[in-house]
Amino acid sequence: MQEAVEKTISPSGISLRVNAWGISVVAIALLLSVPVLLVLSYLFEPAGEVWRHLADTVLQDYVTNSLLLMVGVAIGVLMLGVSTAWLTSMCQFPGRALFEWALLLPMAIPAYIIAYTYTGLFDFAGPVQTLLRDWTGWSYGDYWFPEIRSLEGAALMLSLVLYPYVYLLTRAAFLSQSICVLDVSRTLGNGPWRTFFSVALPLARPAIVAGLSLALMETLADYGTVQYFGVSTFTTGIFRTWFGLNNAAAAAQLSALLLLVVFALIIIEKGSRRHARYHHTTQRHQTLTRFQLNWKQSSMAFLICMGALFFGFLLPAGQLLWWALTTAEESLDGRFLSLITHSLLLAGGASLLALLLALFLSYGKRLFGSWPVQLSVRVAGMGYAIPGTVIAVGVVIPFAAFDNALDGWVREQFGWSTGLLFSGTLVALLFAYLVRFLAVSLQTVEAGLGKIRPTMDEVARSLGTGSGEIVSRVHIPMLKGSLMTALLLVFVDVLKELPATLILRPFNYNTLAVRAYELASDERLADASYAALTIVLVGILPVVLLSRSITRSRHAETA
Amino acid sequence: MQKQLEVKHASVSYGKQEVVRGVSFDLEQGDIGCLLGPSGCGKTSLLRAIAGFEPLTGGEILLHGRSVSRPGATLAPEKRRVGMVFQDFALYPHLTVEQNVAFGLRGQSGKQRHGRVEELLDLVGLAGLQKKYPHQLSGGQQQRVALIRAMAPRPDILLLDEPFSGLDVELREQLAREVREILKRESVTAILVTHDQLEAFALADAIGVLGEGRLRQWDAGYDLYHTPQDRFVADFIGQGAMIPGRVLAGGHVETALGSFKGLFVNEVSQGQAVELLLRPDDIIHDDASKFQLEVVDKVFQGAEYLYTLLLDDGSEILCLVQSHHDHAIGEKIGVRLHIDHPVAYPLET
Repeated sequence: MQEAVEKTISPSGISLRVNAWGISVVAIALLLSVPVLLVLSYLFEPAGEVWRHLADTVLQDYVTNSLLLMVGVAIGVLMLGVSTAWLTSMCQFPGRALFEWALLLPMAIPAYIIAYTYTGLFDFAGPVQTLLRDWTGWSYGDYWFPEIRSLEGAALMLSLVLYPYVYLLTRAAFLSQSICVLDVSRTLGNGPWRTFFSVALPLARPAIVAGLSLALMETLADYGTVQYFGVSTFTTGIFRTWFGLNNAAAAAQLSALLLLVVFALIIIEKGSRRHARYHHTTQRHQTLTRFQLNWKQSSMAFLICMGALFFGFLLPAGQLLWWALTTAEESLDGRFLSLITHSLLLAGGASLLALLLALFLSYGKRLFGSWPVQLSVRVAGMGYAIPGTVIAVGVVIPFAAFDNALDGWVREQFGWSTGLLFSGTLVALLFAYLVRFLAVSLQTVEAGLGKIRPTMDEVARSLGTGSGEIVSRVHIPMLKGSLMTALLLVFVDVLKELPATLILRPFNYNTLAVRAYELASDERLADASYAALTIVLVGILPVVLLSRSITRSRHAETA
Repeated sequence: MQKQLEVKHASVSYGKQEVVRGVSFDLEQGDIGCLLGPSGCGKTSLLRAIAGFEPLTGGEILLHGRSVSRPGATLAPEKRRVGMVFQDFALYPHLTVEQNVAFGLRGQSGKQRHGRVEELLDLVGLAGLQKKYPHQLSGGQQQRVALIRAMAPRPDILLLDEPFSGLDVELREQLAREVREILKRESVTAILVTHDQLEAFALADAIGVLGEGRLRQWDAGYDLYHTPQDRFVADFIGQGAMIPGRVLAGGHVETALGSFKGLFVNEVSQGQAVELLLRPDDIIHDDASKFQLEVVDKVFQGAEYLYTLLLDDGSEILCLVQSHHDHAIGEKIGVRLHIDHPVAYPLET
């Protein structure tokens, strides 16, 4: 009996475990923050010749275009996101229940892919202008048609696929207000419009700002759209400086500047979210009575929601489908199969790695919540807001430096060359994916783990259950859903990712995203459709998940 | 006879802060004990130490005669045969009622397990809910499932950590009585932790009042109320007032309301100034009494009024009077004392 007592606890054993796990968590966080820290360190590098040249010539373009693009996207996502959120949450009209989830569908389409389809539809040789000429008899130069491949076009493309961020958060905010303040406003005799502008909108502002910041972070991170439309922004500038001017330092300095803007957005977003919490004046959610719209208002509401859904999803997805079915010359041959294999391999590998890391980190935090561990987990989840281009720059520089140093050392010691061990391999690419997308897994896993309250572990132990059995009988069954979601979300994000893959992939290693980009750049839009369509179809999966969680919360509200 | 639980000079510390300081008590098989005290008094830490979730920094805990906790040696909770019911119930949302209750049943055939679950569900009146999931149950039902899940493996002791505080007030007392009946019927040894004295009175055979980590008194509810051993217990349990008095010869105490044979919790000397505890029910409304006191405040409590009365020396006492006797503030009413064991405390200097 006495032995059993002594054996079960050995204080030194526990502290050792704390240290090993805790130190690993800190080490992982440090490793993952290397790219960002490295890029930031270039802020303090003295400006080189190339940098001065950049500053004199194109830098101003990058800044102006990036700012204009942000302004354009801000206007676009606010108009689309807020109006659709208000209509679907507070008004009753035919099709509302359908729009509630369908309005999220544009999220499935990466911005660069919607850009390809709109170019195909609206440029000079596209069906729209051709039809116009057939009808009117005009020919080239006789008429003005808006140029889709422009700054305004890019802003429109980004708005069409990014508005769901604003829609999602704003809608949640409207729903949480409904029972308390909006009803009060209505009993005080305010109609829908007055209530919207005087109560709902000001109250939802933190949520709107948070959604807007997310959309703007994506805008800054976009490379595919602006590159294809020939708009010089920070991301295209970084590419050009790197590959055109072959100057890593200047590219890193541009990246650092871009990072500062991103950080400002992160701070705004976090601040707004904190505010948004205080604005929930009640926890009660009841079925709200929506404004009953008359037929005129109903058709307006229907048109607005349908417009967002049509131009953001149905039209581009339909165009891709049309191309795939009719004009595409590239067929589903071995080459396409290898694209799919590569993409599956990368996305599957990255999502699995991210999940394992996320589990390791969040269990570390749960078991030993000391502040260095907590902070490290936070740092590890920071990469999501950082543009893929910037992460790629931050990955290439240290990997190359390491490879060169190792090569030099081995050459000196043993007289042979190791070549490049990491840079230009899948290792570098997977690492970059982890830096950028670990946050997604981490958030999902932490949320899932949060539902397993500490008392649930303690009840199990008091019922005679050991640690291993607690994991298999309580944790795994309760976490299963979250783990699948984490896998799926990272999988889809990696599948869509373009700039980091473009920079870091091994020579001639093609993925769906890269191939779509290459074909589109060669003006073979229709041929790009297979790859693009595959990305979109897989991208619908997380949207389905999201919309399911929305309908489920709706049931909880009415229950 | 062997004690089911023995706690000997147990201390628990978090870092340098000692939250439980040398507490001792024991329970016989089938007894229901209660640890009562304000929040932060160390009652939950002590309970968690008995369960094995907190190590002891001093003293010893024995369960059914075997030492389970000493400084530097803590038997893991899963090896102790304790059942635990938490405030949040901690039911497993992915398991049905039946699976939840059977969670701790091991080394038995499926039929035996099934039988035990049936038996327990019958015991708490939840027969027929086997296949429901926790979120489909009401709060009171969830509480009962948590209770029988902890009882299912027939633990040596059942630990209840504020098990009723997540429920509606109306439900609490009713459930506390029900739970007592269930525990008694199964002859379960149990400890309840609560800050609610009515819950403690309704459920426990013996109650320990904890204040600032120390066990102030271990007694039946009646004795805690009528003969509290120190000022802390007197203040924490029930309502009441302290009036000043002076010790006379022969252990009597003289006060503004006459002199009584007092009970002293400390040594006192003749002529010493003391305070006497008066409970509202020690004071009887009697219009014929020579003590006519002014009403300075009154609270309507349904069947009774709780009057605050002013004594000549400026101190105030509380008096419960049937609510037919409705007196206005400022009026004088007659009272006399009906007090079996007046407890006097040395005046704190």
